[in-house]
Amino acid sequence: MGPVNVVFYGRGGQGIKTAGRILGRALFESGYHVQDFPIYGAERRGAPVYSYVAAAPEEVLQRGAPSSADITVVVDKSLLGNLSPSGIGIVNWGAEIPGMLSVDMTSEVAGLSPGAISAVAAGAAAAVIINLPVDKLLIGIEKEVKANKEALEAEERAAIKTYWKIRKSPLPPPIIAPKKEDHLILLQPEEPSLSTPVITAKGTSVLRKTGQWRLVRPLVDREACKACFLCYLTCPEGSIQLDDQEKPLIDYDNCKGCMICQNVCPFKAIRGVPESEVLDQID
Amino acid sequence: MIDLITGNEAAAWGARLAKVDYVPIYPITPQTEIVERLSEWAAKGLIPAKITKMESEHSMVTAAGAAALAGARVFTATSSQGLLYAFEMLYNVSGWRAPMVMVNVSRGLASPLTLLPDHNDVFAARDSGFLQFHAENCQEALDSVILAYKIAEDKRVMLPALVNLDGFYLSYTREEVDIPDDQSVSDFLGNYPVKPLSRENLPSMGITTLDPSVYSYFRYQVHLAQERAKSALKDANEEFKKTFGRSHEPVQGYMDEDADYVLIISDSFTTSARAAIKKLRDKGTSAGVIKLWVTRPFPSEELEKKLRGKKGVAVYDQDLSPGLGGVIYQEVAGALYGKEESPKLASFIGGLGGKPLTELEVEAMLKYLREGDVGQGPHLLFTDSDLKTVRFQMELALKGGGGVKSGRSRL
Repeated sequence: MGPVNVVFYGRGGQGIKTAGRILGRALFESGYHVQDFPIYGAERRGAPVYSYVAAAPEEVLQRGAPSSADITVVVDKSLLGNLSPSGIGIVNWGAEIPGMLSVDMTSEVAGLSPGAISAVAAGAAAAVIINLPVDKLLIGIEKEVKANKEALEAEERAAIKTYWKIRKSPLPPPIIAPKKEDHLILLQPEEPSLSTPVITAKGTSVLRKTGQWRLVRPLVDREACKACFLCYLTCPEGSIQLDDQEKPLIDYDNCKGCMICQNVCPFKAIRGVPESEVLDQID
Repeated sequence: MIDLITGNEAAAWGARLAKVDYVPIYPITPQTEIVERLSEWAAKGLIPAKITKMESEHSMVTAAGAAALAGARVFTATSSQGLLYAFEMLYNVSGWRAPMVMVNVSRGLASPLTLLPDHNDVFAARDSGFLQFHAENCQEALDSVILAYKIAEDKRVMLPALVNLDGFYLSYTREEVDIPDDQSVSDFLGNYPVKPLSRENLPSMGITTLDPSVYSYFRYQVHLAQERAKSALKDANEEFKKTFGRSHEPVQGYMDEDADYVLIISDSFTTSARAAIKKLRDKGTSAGVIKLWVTRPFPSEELEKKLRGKKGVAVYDQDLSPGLGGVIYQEVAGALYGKEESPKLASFIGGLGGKPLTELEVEAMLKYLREGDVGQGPHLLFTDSDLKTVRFQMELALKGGGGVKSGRSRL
């Protein structure tokens, strides 16, 4: 039997790397052999971050990310559209999501730092692993979380609560990742136009939407806007273009939410709204 | 003490336990964590080393070699483009016979750009005179640094050493590592053998010259020192095993002894190869893995012994010498040429830019070997879905996508 594989999906700032490390440490303390590692696309707040944990009673005979996981913990639900969970799926959400176990992790850590959710996410995964007692989870939190005593204890309480809640809940059936058929091919020589890595087009960042990093969304009040296009000139990402009235159109796929546009607007026509408040209402 | 640490931290621990005196540094992904950790320890007074940030890798290696000759045990680390930027100094410091240790956290070379590992960076340095070690896991990263000092500083050798560990797959991966205690490493390594420069102790370790016979003499001495490193390595390993209970053979086998077919590989993907071979064994395929821990000095004798009588050998090169093929394949073929009972060889290229070694690929390599017609190679391990990924991204690069459709640029 191969190792048990766990994956955490979330965003920079949620402590996704720490969640993996807490679980890795807890498994290590329980006598398992362990590998844990994060994959970052871009190390910054809001960017999608994944972390992986593999554990086995013997040497973990594995390198890199597994092709599918036994447990998937989705800490930011908005990522669900872009990734496919496998194994037992747990999602941080208040309402039911078909095929997954919904646990409102965010409200468990209300009032704590945004990174506190890492302990709860680790606790959620730990609850599914049979031979992982809660005291080892607590050792994991103590050793991997950098926080003062009070905050640490609050995180531990939240993690324990989630751990027992999931232990007592019926688990959804594992999601089976579709097996991809593949075969080796013989690579043929191509003309220079097809064998040189050249980018000739613009707008090629569709595979990495930096708009996903945004925590605050700039919204334009078109009545208050006087079409001075200062925002258009100062946007460091080129994410503002002008419409036929020369008023800003913001490219939300790529706007990172730096809010420089709001700062430079002389007419206070741009306001910032937290993404968590607007995600389901706009567009 | 057994702890969970990353490959980068393991390498840093190697330097810490070797009680290095001087660490010239220059940051580059994915190596930076090594020198960050050492800087942090130095700032807290946990290590006595002087840490100096240089303006380039070229200066970094120059400073490292010079300090090693001035009586300091020196550690440094780099990756990929950084190693190549330092390149001319690699030949210099080996010619100086400066026994410093440098870690290379491997990363494919541009262009195209990647952060993930392959071994064209470290194998580019194969002719520089540096000893070369390759870590499969975080434990071996730490142990290799300590063993590299022991062998590099051996009087029979006195050469600089490179320790390679794979970016991401080891550099940022935590695994359990047995961190030896301070005292036993100090006892194992002993004092740094090069005496500080002084009026009374003027070394005469090299001659600056344009004379070709003098040049030939000294350059060939580097080769002879590499040859003598083989016995230094054997002795070091025996002592290491006595002290720490582990050893690292230049050529390490896994399920290979009774196997008809073997796969030769190095570095972190050895673990993936072992996993795949274990599964194939369960299905009845007589296969094993042979890992190269050392590539300089090249362990020809050990390899020849291990491969004698095998039906077929697949060499997995995570590197490419365009116009020739795999670097390690050529070296294995060279080691076996003219030997009795030498097996059929096949050359495979895989893992370029960190492309994972899959079960499908391991199975395909063994199928090639079993079913005969392997030809000269190299065979690229590349799949239909790999090509689809390429074509999709090329389409994007040529035609673009996304962006605001309705807006316009004023300027």
